[in-house]
Amino acid sequence: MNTLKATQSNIQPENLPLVAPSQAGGWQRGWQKIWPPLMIIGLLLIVWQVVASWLVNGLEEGTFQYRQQQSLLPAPVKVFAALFNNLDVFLEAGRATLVNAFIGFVLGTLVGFGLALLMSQSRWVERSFYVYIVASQMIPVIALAPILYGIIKEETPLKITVSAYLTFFPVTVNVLKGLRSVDPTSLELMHTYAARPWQIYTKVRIPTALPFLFNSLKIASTGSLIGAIVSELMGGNEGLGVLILKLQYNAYGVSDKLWALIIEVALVGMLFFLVVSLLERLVVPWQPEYRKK
Amino acid sequence: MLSEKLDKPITDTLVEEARPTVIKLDQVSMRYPGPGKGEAVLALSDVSLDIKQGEFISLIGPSGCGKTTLLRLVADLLQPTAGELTIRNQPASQARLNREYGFVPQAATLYDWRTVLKNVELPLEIMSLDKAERYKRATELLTLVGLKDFYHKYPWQLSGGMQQRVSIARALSFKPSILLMDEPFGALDEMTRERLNGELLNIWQTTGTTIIFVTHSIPEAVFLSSRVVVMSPRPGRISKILPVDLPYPRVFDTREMPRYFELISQIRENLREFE
Repeated sequence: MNTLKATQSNIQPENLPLVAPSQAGGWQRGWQKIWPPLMIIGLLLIVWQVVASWLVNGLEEGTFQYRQQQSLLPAPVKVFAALFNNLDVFLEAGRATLVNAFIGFVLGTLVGFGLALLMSQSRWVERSFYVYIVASQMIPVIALAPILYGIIKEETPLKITVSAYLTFFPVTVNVLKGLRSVDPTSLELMHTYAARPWQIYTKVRIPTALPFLFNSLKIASTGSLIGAIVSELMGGNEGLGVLILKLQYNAYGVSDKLWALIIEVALVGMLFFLVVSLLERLVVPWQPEYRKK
Repeated sequence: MLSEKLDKPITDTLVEEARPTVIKLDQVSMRYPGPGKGEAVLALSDVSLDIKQGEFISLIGPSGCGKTTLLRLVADLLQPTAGELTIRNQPASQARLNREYGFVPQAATLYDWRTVLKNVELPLEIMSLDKAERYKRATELLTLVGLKDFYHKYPWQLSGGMQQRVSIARALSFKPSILLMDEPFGALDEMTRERLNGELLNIWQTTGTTIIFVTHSIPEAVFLSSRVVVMSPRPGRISKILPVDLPYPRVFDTREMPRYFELISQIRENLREFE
């Protein structure tokens, strides 16, 4: 009996790394997370390469027909070559777009947060503002950008304005919801402490709204980037949108570059999203999804 | 000084003569406006009650008897539609502004973004106490409720019973003379509830706080209180006020006393009339 007991206590999960993946090495765990998406990307690249090669099969590189066929689907090898061969130009354009999108993002967040604070004061204020805020978002960016271009005329302020314009709406809607999502008992407790209205905001309402804010910032991170690129399509000197516009004039000639550019846009968007997600972990670590068991 | 008196059993007469009144309800009524143009609901009708300093009063009765309403009136979370309610000779709203009472709601209602310590410090931050004083008071109270080793835990890392202890510590943090408790142990299991009942009596005796305690549990009301206020529904009225002549300090053995069972059956019979 005793020996049996001793053996049992020896077989603890900690002693069996194969059974307990949490005790295995960090790289092993990381690999387990990474390999499914990697495999899918790998498969996709192979299929892509095969189809693209088949499209230009038998055609001589550089001819019109080749370029026409290639514009249907440029081979990944060509696309990545285009990306690396033009890396300096692409990175410079990406930087110009990202910086302006980010400034617009910050401004839009401030405006959106301020509007939410204002509207949370009373239903009356909320009702008078909300209609116009929703209406403002019914104008497609592609239509708004030229209108604003007519007013602002300067490249950089235009980009920042459009990015801010696409940011403030999700921020206002989400933060307002957050400020209103406070547990009624919490508010009663604050009442029993004879807290001042601003203290109720700083101690309860705003902390409650922070997870909602970050949710909206994730939406706005990609939105503000789209805003900047669309306003760059109005013309200008720098940025990803300007580059897209330039390449479009070249019709069939540069489809590999165009695709490379789209990949860069996607990567920049993911980077922006990732930074916001990391920031969320730092600023609002108390959310259930981050809790350690 | 209070504990000396409590060595002797509290009888109604002793309470009457020795202590000043802290909470006074004089023919208080509360009528909730009905939904839309519907009829108004009379939640409390002509309730008069004097609560003396250092008493432990339980409010008990079936659902809808207005016991929570009564507690909320004292807390100035509701205002009576008739009658007069004073706390230390001032209106309830003034008493609230003077932070005369701490409130312990049914759910612990702790803030997830604050540690246990910071949760207890919250009322003190609102009252603009300096950092050192906040820390001193919060650690004192957490020690009192037996959470010395949990200062830096977050609420979601605690069990339900521990969360209620934090909630009680928070309500006591600014040293109010009155503690208002709305079924604080209602969601806990029987064992935890009994343990917390004992701890609450200790806290009551060390701090000398006057407590109003709303509960659904007859044994809990009898074990804790110096007086049990039995209420009847529709409209909410005080049906009977029962002094509990069990000796303090009340301990495990108190629950085995014949008098304890007598009082429980007495209240149970009283409540049966409303069915």
